[in-house]
Amino acid sequence: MVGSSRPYDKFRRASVAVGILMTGAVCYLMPPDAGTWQGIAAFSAFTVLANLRPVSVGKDRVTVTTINAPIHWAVLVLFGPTAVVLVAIIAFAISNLAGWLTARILAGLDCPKQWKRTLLSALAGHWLGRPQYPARWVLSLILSNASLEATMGGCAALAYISAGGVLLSTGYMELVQNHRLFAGFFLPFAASLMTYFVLEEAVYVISRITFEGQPQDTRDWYSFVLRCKLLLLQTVPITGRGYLLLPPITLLLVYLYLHVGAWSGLVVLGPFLSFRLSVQKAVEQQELYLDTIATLGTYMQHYHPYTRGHLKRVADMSERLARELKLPAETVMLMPYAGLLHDIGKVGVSEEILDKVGKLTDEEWATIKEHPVKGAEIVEHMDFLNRTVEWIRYHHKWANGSGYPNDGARNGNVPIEAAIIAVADAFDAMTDDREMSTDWVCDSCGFKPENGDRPEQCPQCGAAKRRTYREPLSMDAAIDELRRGAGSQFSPVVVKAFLQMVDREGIKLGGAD
Amino acid sequence: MAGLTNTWPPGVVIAILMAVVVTFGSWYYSVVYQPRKLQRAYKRALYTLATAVETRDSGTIGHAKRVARYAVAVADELGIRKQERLRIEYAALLRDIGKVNVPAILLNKTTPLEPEEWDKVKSHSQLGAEIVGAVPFLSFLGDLILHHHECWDGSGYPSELMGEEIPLGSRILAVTTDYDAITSERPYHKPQPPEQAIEQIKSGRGSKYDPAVVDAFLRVLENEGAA
Repeated sequence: MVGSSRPYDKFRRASVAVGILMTGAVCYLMPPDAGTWQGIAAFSAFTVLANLRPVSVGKDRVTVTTINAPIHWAVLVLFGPTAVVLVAIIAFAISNLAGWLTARILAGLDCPKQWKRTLLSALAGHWLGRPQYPARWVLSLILSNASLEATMGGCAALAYISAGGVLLSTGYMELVQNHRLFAGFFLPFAASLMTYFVLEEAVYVISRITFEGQPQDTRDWYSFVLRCKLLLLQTVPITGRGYLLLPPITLLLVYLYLHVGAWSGLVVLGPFLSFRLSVQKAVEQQELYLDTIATLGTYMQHYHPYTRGHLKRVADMSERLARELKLPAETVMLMPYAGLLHDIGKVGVSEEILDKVGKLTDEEWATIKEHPVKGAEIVEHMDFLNRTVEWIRYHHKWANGSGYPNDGARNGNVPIEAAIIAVADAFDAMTDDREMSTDWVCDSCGFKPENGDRPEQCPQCGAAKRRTYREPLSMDAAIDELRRGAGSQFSPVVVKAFLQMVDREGIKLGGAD
Repeated sequence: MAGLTNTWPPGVVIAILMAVVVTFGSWYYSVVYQPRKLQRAYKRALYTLATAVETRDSGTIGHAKRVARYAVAVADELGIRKQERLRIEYAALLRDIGKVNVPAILLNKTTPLEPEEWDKVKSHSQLGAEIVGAVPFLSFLGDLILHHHECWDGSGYPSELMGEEIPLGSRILAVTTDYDAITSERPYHKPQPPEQAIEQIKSGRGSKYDPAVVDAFLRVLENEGAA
């Protein structure tokens, strides 16, 4: 991660300061003895080995993760805060320096690209930067990240001790003989895990926020909390599972260290770590599913010439409205997907009806009115999107109970998410210059004039060009229309939020495609 | 080797057992359980989208699902590897997705199509490949969808490929699609009995279809009839 933005630098400096303070304090208060030094050496080596095969995680693939947490926990219950702080710093520095050097050497080396890639992913994977970084950057990156790990480990160790935990490297026999393992080890260990978890998530959230920066116009408390929640929704399912799988590894490491010897841990560490990584990858596959299906659905709709751009704008606008209305984080997260897929039911409706200029027959109307229900049925079959079914089903239902589908149960009681999509959809349909915003393409033969003409009749097959709905309105006229429709067609709450938002931020029509 | 004595503490045995259990458990979760669950989710979603497109093309509901089933059976008969078989199954589901851009009036026309109308209908394999190609994790289906209307003798569309140049999956899709189209009802013809469909497929063996695929498909039908 390379951040040149100023708040991120501040965050890094602060973390280095805290790290140094923490290291100095624990080293001064609890200086390590000979036995501790041995443990530090052994477990630092463990950590370096465990860092060898990291994976990049998350949608953006920039966060690199390794699994040194279970090793750090083993150190903190065995030797206490000083050892864990030192192990964190030493191991992190060795791994990253080695990674940087490998990357540097490989960059100048003349050998097949395949070898380079394999070697890099095996050895230098943990290194977050690029080989051409100057040494000063490397030092600052290593210092700040090592400080974060040291701080997390140190705080967890302090939590362990203050919850009454006994350092096992010296007090294990006594604990066993007095049958005090539960109060003297398990309970404090749980406390330290909790501390570590909270700190880990906090560090992730704060670093992401300081790295990316918070937009100027969303600096109120709700947006901040929402941002944190959205980040946590991304990471907790992944790290949370880790916390089910990793403590047993720690117990095992500790047990083998105490009973068999320091190096026996290596035997079980390998398989555990590689499987932990594959579990993590499996969880991410699930996230990719959502994107894949939503993209496919969007592209299927794109081929209707008028929906290009419209879906993206509806998705953006719906998400902004959900934020404006301070809806829960999960809703805000799913809103763009619902916006993209809200008209997926139209895929089955023939465009002769959708684009018809003259009056529709009753039968044709009935077909059009089916599309929200059809769309809901489609989304119903898509895992992880189940929450949006109702939103899509009722996005043409009016606030006063008219509109469609007319299934009685929901008259005048439309889910607010559906009302949001309705407002975003209507506003964009009213203002979008559908004719001008897309290339002119003949609806029946697909002919596209090369000189950018927009003829009334297709020069190739003679079909008349159909228009949808009506001429675009100006923004002001469209806003007036929404205001007039509040209470009858549109939900007054949503329209009010829309007006507030537009007042403050403007329309911000983004996303051409 | 501090603690390695003749009598190992019982905890060591427990620890090793636990290691085995956790290791196996996480292996099962990540390599067997989760991929299987996701594959089901993908199939469900793709099948639903395929059905949504089918509703434009009246009388073809369930077509994609049946074609996918036949295609998997033929792939098994030909001994195709699991990964490629999955690709063929997905492609069978999404094969006609390009029809979203073919006016429904052409798909349901009972009279012969004009040349330019026919071009429009033909464009669906290209469009399908484009749509799928735009989705990062489905782009690997592109070539199967693009070529599913190619013929063994080079008379198909869009690239007029011949023989082995056509991807094997596309050759399988060509046979299974046609068989299901002949046996089910369409606006322009009544459903034909299976015997007649088999005759038609056989007459296309070596001209329209890959002979090896036709043979495998006939074996599949025979096995089904016997079961």
